[in-house]
Amino acid sequence: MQRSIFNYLLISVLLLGLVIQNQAQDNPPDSTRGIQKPTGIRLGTDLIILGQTFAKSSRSGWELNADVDLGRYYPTFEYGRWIRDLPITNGTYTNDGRYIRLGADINFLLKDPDKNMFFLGFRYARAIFDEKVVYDYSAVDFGNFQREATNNGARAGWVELTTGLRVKIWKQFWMGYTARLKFLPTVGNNSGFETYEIPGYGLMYKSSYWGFNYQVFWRIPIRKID
Amino acid sequence: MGMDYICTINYEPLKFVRFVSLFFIAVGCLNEPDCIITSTNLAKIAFVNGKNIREITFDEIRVSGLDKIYYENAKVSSVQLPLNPEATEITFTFTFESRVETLHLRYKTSVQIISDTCGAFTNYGDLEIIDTTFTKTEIVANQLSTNATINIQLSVD
Repeated sequence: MQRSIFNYLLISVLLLGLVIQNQAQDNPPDSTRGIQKPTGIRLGTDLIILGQTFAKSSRSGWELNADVDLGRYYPTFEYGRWIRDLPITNGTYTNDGRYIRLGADINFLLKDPDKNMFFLGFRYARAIFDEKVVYDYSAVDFGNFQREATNNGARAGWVELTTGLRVKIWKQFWMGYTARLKFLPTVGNNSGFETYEIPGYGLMYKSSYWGFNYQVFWRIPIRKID
Repeated sequence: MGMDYICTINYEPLKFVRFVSLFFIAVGCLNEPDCIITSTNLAKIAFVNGKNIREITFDEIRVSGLDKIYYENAKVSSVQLPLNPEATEITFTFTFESRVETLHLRYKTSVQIISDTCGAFTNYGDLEIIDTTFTKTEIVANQLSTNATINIQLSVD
């Protein structure tokens, strides 16, 4: 049932994309729609995970973001570290890993002189991580044990649909948010221990996941905006 | 100012924002885990004669690695015997009707965390018979589970 809803929504978004594409083809040619030479590189970081790190949450880490403008298209690179130290009912779970995301955003605010953005985009992400669980276990007639299981060098991948805003605040300083629908998680290298969490994605048992970043950026101009 | 500007561009982006927001919220609410624990180290073994259930009065059943005697002087048609979480093989020795039969099993354990509130559990799977004196055997379900009715079926004349 849940998968059906998810498939329905996914198809709806794809159909919407096709409609938009057709509308775009009906409109007269516009120089703002094509790929153009870049005018700057934007470097940023996610404030939410930094806040969690300083608040000593069970999750900590950092994330760096970079994008470059090619007209309305923004190739994007993201790199992060994700550390989890989570108490569970009968033990503890730890995860330490890194992830990258590659993709592009498409800006729908074409005529903004500051290049503020409302965007839709996609990402392909990969993570490599070490996870470990130590837990108390009781087996009939064999007694109580403290067991330990690890996945070292585990690898995972997933894809994302993204949307959000980027707004120029002051000179080269920008702020914005990115909402992410993450889905299609895949994991390798986990013999004997089913991966619980994927850095950058979240809990493995969720076939789709919601993510949110609140970001600040500094833009490094390469050439003047036309 | 910003919102006025958004309203003047093509593609009716406000509809777009509403739709995309709804899409993300709807999908983000799916897939909460159920804390249903089916993990067990008990293998369920049934006895049959042809297609009929076979009731046996056991003198005893022994499990390798344990001193405990199971089903002593008990008349049953199925038994539940424990697997050792610290091993990957185990032997059951059945003594009944002036016979001694053995069943040597191999299995794998895996660890699963259902959620932080449910905790971590050991699952037993890939159950296989690597040696036995029973003439006919069948693995019915190779994963141990509190939901499984039978894991192994043994034919006894």
